[in-house]
Amino acid sequence: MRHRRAFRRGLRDGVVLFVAVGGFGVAYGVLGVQAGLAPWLVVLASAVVVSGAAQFAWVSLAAAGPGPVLLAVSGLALRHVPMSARVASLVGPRPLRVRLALAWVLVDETFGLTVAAARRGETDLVAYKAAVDLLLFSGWVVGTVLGAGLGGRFDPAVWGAEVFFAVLFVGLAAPLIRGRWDLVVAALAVGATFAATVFPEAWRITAAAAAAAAVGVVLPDD
Amino acid sequence: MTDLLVVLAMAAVTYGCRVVFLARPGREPSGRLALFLERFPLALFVALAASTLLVPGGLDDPGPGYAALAGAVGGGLLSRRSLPGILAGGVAAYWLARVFLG
Repeated sequence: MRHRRAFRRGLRDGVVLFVAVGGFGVAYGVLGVQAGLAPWLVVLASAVVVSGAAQFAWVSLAAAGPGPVLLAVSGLALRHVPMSARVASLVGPRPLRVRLALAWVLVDETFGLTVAAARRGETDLVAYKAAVDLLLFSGWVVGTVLGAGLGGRFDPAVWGAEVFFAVLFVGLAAPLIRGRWDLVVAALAVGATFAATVFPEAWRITAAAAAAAAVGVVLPDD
Repeated sequence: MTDLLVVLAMAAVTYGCRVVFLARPGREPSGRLALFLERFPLALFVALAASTLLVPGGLDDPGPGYAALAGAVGGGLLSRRSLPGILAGGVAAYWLARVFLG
């Protein structure tokens, strides 16, 4: 009974994720197909990667080849490492299969809701997170299927898809700026992107990001 | 085939990072590695945006791109940095610039 109530609370809190992430899934599906990727592959990525940031980066860098894509995706995926540690400490000792399942949809949004639920004193975080994960995963995959189906009917130049991508990345960066030193890292990344034009095109973005983050390591923590 | 392998590699890398401490609880990254991990996503998102909106050659016509960036920043300030607010501001400014700048 306790599991069911926690699961229902997760469903209640996760509905907004289904809608919001579903919308982004549509955008990702459209842009993935327009980038020349096979629709089934675009959908498969949503099911097995389940990472909007990584998948948008993949679509954006697909023409550059596997190396830059995997470097960028690795860099983005590394931010899940601290989340993994935090969720592990929140749920405590659990069977391995449960912990492996909790990791599947460990993304910014589900992590945030789970941490907030823990602060509220949620009694069964595993059932709560399972419900939130289910809704986010469903929204992301269903949205991607819809977007991939629509993809060929849009002309990216007419709709300004490149700019949508860029603005999306502004939106993903914004919540990560929590203090003045984060602003410095952002400014360094802009400067490094200009400087990286001397490198081969395929490596410019990841080289610029790695350089800015590396300099960021020696800056004080806010 | 290459694209499929890329997707599977992306999945492996992403899941590996998500499961590392859930599979082996009790150990966390620390020091400079932790700080690098914390700052890389911000640097990457900014570089991705700047390469299109700011760097010469990112767009055929840079004017609407600058407008999109300004609109995104404005939308973020008005919406407490919410993603929908930033997207709405950026896309609206981009379209207005295309209409008025030609």
